[in-house]
Amino acid sequence: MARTTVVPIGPQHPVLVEPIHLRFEVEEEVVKGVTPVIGYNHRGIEKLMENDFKKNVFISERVCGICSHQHSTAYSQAVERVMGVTPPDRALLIRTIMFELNRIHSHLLIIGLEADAIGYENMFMQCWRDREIVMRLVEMVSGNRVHYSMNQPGGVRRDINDAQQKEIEAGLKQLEERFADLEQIMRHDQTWNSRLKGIGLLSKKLAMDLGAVGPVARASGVDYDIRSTRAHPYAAYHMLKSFKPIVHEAGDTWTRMIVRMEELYVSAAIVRECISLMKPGPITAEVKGNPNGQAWSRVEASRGELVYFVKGVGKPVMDRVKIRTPTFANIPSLGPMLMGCQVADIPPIVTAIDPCICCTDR
Amino acid sequence: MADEATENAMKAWRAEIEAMHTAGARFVVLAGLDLIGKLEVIYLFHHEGQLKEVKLQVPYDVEFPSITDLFPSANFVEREMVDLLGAKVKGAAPFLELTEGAGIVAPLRKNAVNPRPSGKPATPPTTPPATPPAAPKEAK
Repeated sequence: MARTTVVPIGPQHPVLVEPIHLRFEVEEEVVKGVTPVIGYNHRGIEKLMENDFKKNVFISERVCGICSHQHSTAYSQAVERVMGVTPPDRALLIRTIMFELNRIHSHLLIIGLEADAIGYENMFMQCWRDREIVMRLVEMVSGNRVHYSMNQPGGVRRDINDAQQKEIEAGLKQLEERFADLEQIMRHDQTWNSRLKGIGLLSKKLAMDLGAVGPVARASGVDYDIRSTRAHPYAAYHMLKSFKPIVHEAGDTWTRMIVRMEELYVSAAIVRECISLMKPGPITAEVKGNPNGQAWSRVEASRGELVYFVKGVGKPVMDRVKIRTPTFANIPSLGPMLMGCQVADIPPIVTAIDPCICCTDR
Repeated sequence: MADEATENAMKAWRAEIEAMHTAGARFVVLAGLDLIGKLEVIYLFHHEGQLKEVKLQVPYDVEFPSITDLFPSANFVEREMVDLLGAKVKGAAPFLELTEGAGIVAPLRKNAVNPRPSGKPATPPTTPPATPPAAPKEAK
C-alpha cells in the first residue's frame, strides 16, 4: 500500500522563478494531488491605480517586467474607449510593433527557461543570447529594455523613424535565422523531445472549462486569440492581412512550446507588415477632460488574454481599475496537467504555462 | 438578510448566468466595484465574438451564490473578490493570504482604513538634530 507524502514546493524553490506555493500529494514519485497558493507577492496595484489616469499608464507597465508594453497598451486603450478618443493609425502601428517585439522576447525567454527546467543549459544560453537582439531593438526605439514607456492615452510617446524601421527589419532577419536553429532543436532534439512529449496533458474540454488562455489553450485545440477576434479589434490588428492564430491539438507540454516557437515567426511577420503599412502622420490624438464612464479592454499578451476594466467618474483620479492577467487564468489548469505525472516532470510542466506570478499577484 | 428587491435581483441575475451557460458562453472575468454600502459585480462573458455583461448589486452583508457550479474558471477571481472587497460569496473562501495580522481588511472598499498611513513610522525618530542649537550670546 503506497503512502501519501506531501511535498511543498515554493514559495521559494530552485525550480520556480517566482513565488508561488504548490502543495503536492505524492505516492511513489507520482503526483496524486496539487494545491496552488498565490498571494506571496501581492502589491495591491489595483488599489494603487485609484490614481491620476495619465500616471496610471506607468503604474500599469510595472505590473510585469516581461509584458510591460502589453499592460500599458491594454490600460491606454481602455481609457481611450471611455474618453472616446481614437489614436492615429501610425500610433496604432507603433503600438503593435512594440507589442510583437515584446512577445518575441517573452517567448524566447520562456523557451530558454523551459530548456533550463530540463537541464539543457546550452539551449537556455542560446535562447537568451538570441533574445538580446530583440532587446537591443526595443532599446533603440524607446531607450529602455524593460519598461518602454511608449504608450499614453491617445497614442504613443515616441515615433519609429525610417532608419529605425530599417534597423528593425535587419534585426528581424537575423532573428529569423536564429528561430530556424531553435526550431530544429525543438522538433528533432532527443533530449528536448524525450523530456517534454506526452507530459502535462490538458484536453480541449478542460482547457475551456478552466478558462485557459494563450498558448496553453491554443496548444489544446482552443482557437482563442484576441488578435483574431474581429469584433473587438485593438491596436492595428484589424489592418493586418497575414495574421492567423497558431492552434495545435495535442495538448502536451511539447506542443505548448511549439505553439510559442511558431508564434515567433508570426510576430516577426506582423512587425514587417506593420512597418510596410506605416505612413507619415501624427502619433498622438488630443485627450481632453477626464474619463467618465467604464470600459473593458482585452489584448492578447504573450501569455494569453489580458483584460483591463476601468471606471472613471469625471475626475482625474480613476474610480476602479481591474486587471485579469493571463497566468491568473492559467493556474487552475495546472491541477489536471500535473495529476499523475512524475515528480521529475513538475518543473517543465509548471514552466510550460509560462507562469508570471508578478502579474498574478499584481 | 436580503430584502425582497435584492432577492428578486439575485433571481434575475442567476437566470441570466444560466442563460449564458446554456448558450455556451465563455466566462472571461468579473470586476467587483464598491458603490458605498453595496457592491456591484460585473460578470463578463464572451459569446460568438461578442462581449456580454451580467451585473449584480448587493448590500455589503448579503451573501450571494458562486457561479463556479456552471463556470469553474470563476473560482480564483471570486475568491479574490472575497479578499479584496470583502464580498460574501457562498462557498468561496479567501485564499490570497492578504489579510492576516495587521493588514488592511477589504482594501478595495472606498472606506478601507490603512493602519499605516503614508508609510510613516509609528514612533517619531529619536536621533538628535544634526546641528546643535546655537549657544546664547553672553551679554556684554
